[in-house]
Amino acid sequence: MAHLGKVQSRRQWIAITVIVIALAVILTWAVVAARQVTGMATDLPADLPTTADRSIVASTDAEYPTLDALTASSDFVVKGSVVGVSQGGTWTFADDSGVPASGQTDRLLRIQVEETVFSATGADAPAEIFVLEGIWEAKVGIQHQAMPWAQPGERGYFYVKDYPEYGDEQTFNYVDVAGRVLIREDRAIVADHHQRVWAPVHDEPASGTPELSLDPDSPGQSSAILSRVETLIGRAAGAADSGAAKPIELPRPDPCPPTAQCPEFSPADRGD
Amino acid sequence: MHAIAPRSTKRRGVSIAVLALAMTWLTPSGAQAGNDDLIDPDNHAHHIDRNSLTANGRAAVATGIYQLDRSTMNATLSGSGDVEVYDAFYGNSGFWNNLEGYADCTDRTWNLLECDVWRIRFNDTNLGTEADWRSCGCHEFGHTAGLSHRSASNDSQAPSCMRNPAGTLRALDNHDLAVIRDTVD
Repeated sequence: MAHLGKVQSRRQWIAITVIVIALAVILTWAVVAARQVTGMATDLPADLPTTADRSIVASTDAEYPTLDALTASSDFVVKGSVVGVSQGGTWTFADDSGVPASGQTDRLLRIQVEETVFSATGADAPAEIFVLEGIWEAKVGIQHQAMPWAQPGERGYFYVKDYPEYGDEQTFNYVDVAGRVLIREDRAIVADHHQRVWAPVHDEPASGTPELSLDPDSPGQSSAILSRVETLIGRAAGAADSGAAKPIELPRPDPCPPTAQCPEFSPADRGD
Repeated sequence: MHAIAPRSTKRRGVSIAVLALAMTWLTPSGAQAGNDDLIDPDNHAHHIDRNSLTANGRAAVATGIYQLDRSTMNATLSGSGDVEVYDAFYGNSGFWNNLEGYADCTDRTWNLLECDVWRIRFNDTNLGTEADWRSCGCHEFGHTAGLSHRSASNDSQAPSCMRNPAGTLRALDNHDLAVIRDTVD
């Protein structure tokens, strides 16, 4: 009986050991898989999260009435892939602005350009560009509710214009929160579906079924049939190329009067 | 078999309950159509803190309070801790490109389903006249009651200040008021 007890005890230990090893393997696999999903997570300092913790809903000072106008207002419309995410420069604000002294740090997508769909100058976009998409404030990731953070590995169309504070020809800002379309298989994920630029997708359903539906991952954006959206993108690029579509000139007030404490920008070494 | 069947039934019941709870937790609050696809406040009371606001900032807050109090919300300057409001020259570059202001939830309830503390920032750079500030106040405080944006395609009544841009619009419409009534606990 004593021998039997020892055998049972040994079997229990073996079982526990196997379970612990299995859990360790599963945990390791999960960590590796998560790193693959978030791709270039190692581009970022360890204390900056790779996913946004907060979503803002913003009030804008203008709206682009059509996709033609949004396209014509862009420096570039590019088709490309997100190959990394890096930390950009930091904006600091007045003491009573509610922003901590550490400021708001730009989150920059590194995008490998496959195709220049539209160019305001006629020249191709650089082979690799950086696009501002979200910020970190006090190490907290902040995104637009209508434009959840894109991650490395995602492809799409990006409507961008120069981000002058970086002083280079590679760094851009979205023209508008509506200026991004992500490609997921045969679907197009359209940012900020409330805006009129994407109304044609609402207006011209195919096969008698609505083409634009809420993106299940984010109520701020919508999912539509890719081929339909690509047709619209191409048509708008043609209108902007031909001059039929005109850029929208937005009011550009002085960022700050001389008597006020003004926002300040400190570019960062992105290591590129 | 008789002994197993009830246990199986019970397990199935537990599984369904767990699944239902998970679905409730995972589904964004008010994901149905309309402008209620934003996280809702945790209750009707909005105690508002004005943090060193300018005169225009205070006017925006006054409009926001007035509009919310037309709904089932009870917004007030007495007490504190539900809505923190700031204004500053945030500029019009970078993340602040084209932005007049924004609202975000800085503290959720324990189950993450509702918002305990909201933050509003008004951008002095892109807001001009007092009328602009008041429109933006209506808009941002509307967000703190769980309203998201309206557009011409889903705003058939008198135009709502939840359109974006709000322009000169300065009031929540009946649809907005109904959404607040139906969604805020």
